[in-house]
Amino acid sequence: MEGLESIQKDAQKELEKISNLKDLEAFELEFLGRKKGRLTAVLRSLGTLSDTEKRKVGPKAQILRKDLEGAIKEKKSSLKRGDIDSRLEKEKIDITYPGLKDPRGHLHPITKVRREVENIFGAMGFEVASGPYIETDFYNFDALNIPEEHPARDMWDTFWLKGMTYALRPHTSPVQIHYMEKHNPPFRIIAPGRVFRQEATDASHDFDFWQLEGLMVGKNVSVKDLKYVLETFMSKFFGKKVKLRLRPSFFPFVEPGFEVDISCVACVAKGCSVCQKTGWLELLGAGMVHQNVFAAAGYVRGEYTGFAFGVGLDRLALMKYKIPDVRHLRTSDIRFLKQF
Amino acid sequence: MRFSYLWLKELTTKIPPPQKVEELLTMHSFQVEGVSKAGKDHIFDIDILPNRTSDCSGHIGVAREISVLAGGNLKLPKNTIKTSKTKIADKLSLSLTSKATKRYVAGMMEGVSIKASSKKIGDRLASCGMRPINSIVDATNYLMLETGHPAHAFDYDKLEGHKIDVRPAKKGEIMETLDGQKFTLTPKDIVIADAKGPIAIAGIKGGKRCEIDNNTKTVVFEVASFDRTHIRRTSREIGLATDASIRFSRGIPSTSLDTAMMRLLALASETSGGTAAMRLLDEEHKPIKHAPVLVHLDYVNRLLGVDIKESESLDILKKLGFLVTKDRNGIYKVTPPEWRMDIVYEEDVSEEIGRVYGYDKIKPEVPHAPMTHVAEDPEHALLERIRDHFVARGFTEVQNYSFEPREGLFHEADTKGRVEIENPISEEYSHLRPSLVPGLIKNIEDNIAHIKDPRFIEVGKVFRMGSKKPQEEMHVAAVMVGHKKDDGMFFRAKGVVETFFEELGVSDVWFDDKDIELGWPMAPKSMFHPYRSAYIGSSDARIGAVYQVHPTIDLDLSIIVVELAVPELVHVVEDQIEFTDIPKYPASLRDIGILVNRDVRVDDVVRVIETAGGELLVDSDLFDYYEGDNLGPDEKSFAFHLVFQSSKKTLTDKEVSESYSNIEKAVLKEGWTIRE
Repeated sequence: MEGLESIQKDAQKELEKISNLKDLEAFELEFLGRKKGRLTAVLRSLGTLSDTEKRKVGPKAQILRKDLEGAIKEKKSSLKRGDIDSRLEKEKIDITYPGLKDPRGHLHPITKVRREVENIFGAMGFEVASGPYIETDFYNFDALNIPEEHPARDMWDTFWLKGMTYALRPHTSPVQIHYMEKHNPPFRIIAPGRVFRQEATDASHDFDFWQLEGLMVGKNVSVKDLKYVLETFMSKFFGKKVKLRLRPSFFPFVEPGFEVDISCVACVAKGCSVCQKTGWLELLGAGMVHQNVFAAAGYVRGEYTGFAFGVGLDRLALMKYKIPDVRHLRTSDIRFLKQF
Repeated sequence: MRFSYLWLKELTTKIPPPQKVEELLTMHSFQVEGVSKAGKDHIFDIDILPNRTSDCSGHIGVAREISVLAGGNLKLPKNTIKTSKTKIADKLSLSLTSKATKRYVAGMMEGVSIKASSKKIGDRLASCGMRPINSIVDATNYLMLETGHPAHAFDYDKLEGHKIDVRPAKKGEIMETLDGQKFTLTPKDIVIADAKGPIAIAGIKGGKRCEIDNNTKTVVFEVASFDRTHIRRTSREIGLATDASIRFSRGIPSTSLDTAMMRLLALASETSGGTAAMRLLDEEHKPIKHAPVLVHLDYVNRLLGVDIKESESLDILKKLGFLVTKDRNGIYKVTPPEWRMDIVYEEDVSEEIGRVYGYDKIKPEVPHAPMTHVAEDPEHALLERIRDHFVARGFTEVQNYSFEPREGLFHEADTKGRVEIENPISEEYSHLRPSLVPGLIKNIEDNIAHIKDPRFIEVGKVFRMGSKKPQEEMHVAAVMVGHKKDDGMFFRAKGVVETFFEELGVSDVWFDDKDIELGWPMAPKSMFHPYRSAYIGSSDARIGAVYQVHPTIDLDLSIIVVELAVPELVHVVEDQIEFTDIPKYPASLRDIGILVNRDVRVDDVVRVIETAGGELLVDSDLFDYYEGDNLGPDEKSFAFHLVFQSSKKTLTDKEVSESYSNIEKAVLKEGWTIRE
C-alpha cells in the first residue's frame, strides 16, 4: 500500500503544474478515480488493516481526500474563470461603432409647441376648444363687433369661397363665439388652430398659419388677471422670467384693446438685434372682451367681464427654435423636420 | 401717418423732447413706428389706430394728445381772412341729394394768384410725405395735415352752370380723375357734379375737368363728411385709395366742418392772396348728436383691476375734452367731444381713463376664479395618440398647405366638388384640398433624395362642396414607400395599423377588399392599386384604408398609404383593456404546412384551422408563406405554428394529437394538401 505522504506530495506537485481543465480531469482520475485512483486504492485497502492501523491511517486518508477534493474544486473554478476571460476577450467590440437605430419619426415643431402651450394653460385650468375653418360673416366678423362695411374689416385680408357667402377664418376669434353659444361663464379656454389670410408671404408672414386664441370670462375678470396669465405663460414657455408691457391698441372685439410686448427673451431686455435694440418684443394682441361680443353670443350685456388674446403659434415656434423663416413650417423637407 | 415735431410744437404750450414724445404716445395713445431727423425737425411715423383716425389724423389731434399726456394746453392757429362783398349764394348753388353725405360745406375765394407755396408750407407737406403742387392745392393738403379734414378745390370758371350737386352717381357714369385715370361708377358711389357731370368722386379723388391751373382766378373749396362705409366700398371697388379716402373711410367728424373751412380760407388767402366771398354754402343731412355715456367709475376700476381715485379719473376725462356730469345716483354722464367718434360705450371711456392713467401701473395678480371643469375633446385626444403612435414607428409629421391647384393627382372625374377660392393667392393654391394624399405623395417625391425610407403622416382638415354648404373634416393619412415589386411594405403599413388598434383597445377590427369605394374624405378608388388595397372595418363602420397607390399615379415608387377617418374612429375607441389570467400550464407547439390554390387567402385557412382546433387551440400563427420555384404556378404554401393549451391542466400528448388530427382532417376536407 502506498504511503499517504507520497500521495500528498505528488498531488501537491502535480496540481501546481495543471493549467487546463483536461489535465485537471486526468489528475482527478489519477488520485481519486473510482477504479484506479491512488488515494481510492488506499481507502479501499483500509478494510484489510488491523484496528490499530485502521485508526491510525483511516482519518488521515479521509482528511487527504477532502483536501484533494477541495483543491480540485478550487482549481476547477479558477481554470474556468480564466477560460471565460480569454473567450470574452475574443468578443471585444469597438464601442465607437455607430448605434443601430430603429426608424425614428418626428413630431412637427408646431405640434410640439402647441402641446407645450396646451400643457401650460391646462395647468392654469384652461380647456382646449376648437372651431371650423370655414365660417360665415357672422362668426368671422359680425358677432365680433365688426359689422358689414366697418373699416376694421380691412384689418383682415380674408379668403372668400367662390360663389358663396363663406370664407376661411382669418383669425381664431370665431371660436370665442362658438364656445360661448354653448357654455356659460365662468370658463377659461384656449383655441389653437389654423387661420388663413390673403396676403403675400415673406419670412414672417404666411397665408395659412397657426394662431392661439385665449378667453377667460367670469364675474370679475380684469386687466390684472390678463397680465398675470400672460406673464405666467410667457415665463414658463420661454423658461425665464418674462415681463409684460401693455400698450393701447384697437381690435373691435375688445375694449380696452392692447398690444402686448414681452421683455426680449434673447437679450433679457438689454437691447439686441432680435428686439431691434428696444428690449421689447411685440408678440400679441389682447383686450377686455367687448360687451357687444357677449351680447352676440347670447349673454346679458354687462353681466360678465373677460379677457381675450390672440398670438401667432408659428411666431412662438420660430422664437423657441430660432427658425428664421415661417415658411419652413409648411415644408416637408426631412432635413428641417428631423431637427425636432 | 407722418407728423412733424416742430409743427406739433407750434400747436401746444408744452412738449417734451422728441424721444419722450415717442414714448408717451406709444405707451398711452398709439404706436410711433419710427422717428427720423429732417434738418432741425424730427418726423414721427405714427400708426394711427383705425378708431382714432377721426380725431388724430391731423397735427392738431396729435398735439391735443401730447398736451393731455404732458400736461400742456392746445394752441390753435389764428385765422386772418379778407372778405369781399360777394355773396357766395349769388355765384354758386349747392344741392345735396346723396343721403350718404352727412354734410357738405363750400367756400369761395376770388382773385387768387396761383404760385408756388412758401418754403415753410412746402417743407411741411414734403416732410409729411406730400408733394407740393401749387399754392391752392397745397392749402387744401395743409389743412388736411393740420386738422385731419380732407379738402378739395375746384376752378370756379370751369364749373358748368356754376352749381355743385352732391348726388349718387348715375349708372355707368364715367369720371376722369386728376391723373387721367377713368372710372366707371354706379349709383352706390357718390359724386360731386356740376351741370355737365361728375367733377370729383366724393371723398376719394378730384376730376380733371375743374382742376386748378395757373390761370385759375376764382376757387371753390369743399370740406365734407360722408358715410364712411360708402367711401370705403367705392374706394375698394374702384381700387383707388388716397390720403382723403383713408380718412373718410374711417369717419370724419362733421360738426367742425365750418371751422375747418374758415381755416382753409385763411390758409388760401395767405398762400394765394385772394379774398373770400361772404358766407359759406352749408348743407347737412343728419346732424350728429353725441349721446352721453353712462359711466360707473367702480366698474371702470374693476375692469382695469386698479383703484384709480374718482378725482383722477374725472380729471383725465376733462383734459381729453369730455363733458362730465353726475346724476342723482352717483352715475356719471360722459359726453365725448365732437372729434371723438369712437366713444360709444362705458368700456370706451374705461380705455380712455386706463391708457392715460397708464397700463404699466396695473399689477399682475393671480386670478380669483372659481374652479371649473376642464373637459377634454375626445377627437383632440385621439389625434394626439395617432401622432404619437405613428411617430414612434418612424413616421414624421408634416403640415402641408390647405390649398392646392385645380389639377391635383386625382383623375379628372374625381375633381368634382372641389372648393374654389374666390381670391386665391395664386393658381397653385386656388382650391381647398379634398384629400391629404396628393400632398403626402409629393412629400415623398421631394424627400426621396435625402432619406432611404421616408415615412410621413399628416393630421389635417380636408374640404369639399356639400349640397348646401362647403364641408370640412379632420382626417389622417400616412405614407411610406417600398421598392418596386416589393409587397412587404403593404404589410408593414398594415402592421402599424394593427398595433395602433391594439393600443387603443379596439379588438373588433378587420381588413377587407370587397366594394372598396369608400367615399370622401378617403381618396377616390382611382388612387388605389386594384389588387393591393383594403379598407379597415370595425363594427358596422369603415374607419380607414391601407393601399398601394395606383401605379399610373406614380411610376417610379411604390407608395403605401394609410388613411384613417377621424369621426368614425372616435366612435370605435373603447379603451377596453381587461386582464386575462396568465396561463399556469405549459403550451404544446405543433407546426403544420398547407399547400393551397393561389386564390385561397390566409384568412380562409385560419378560419378552417381555428374551427377544427376547438378550444384547446389557443393560437395559430402564420410563420412562413411561399410561392415560387418548387410549387406549381397556381399554388402557394402556408406554414403555421399551432399553440395548444388549457387553463385547467397540462395537456397530454394524446389530447394534443387528437386536436391536431381534427385540424388535418378539416384541411384535407377543403381539398388542400398537407406538406410533410
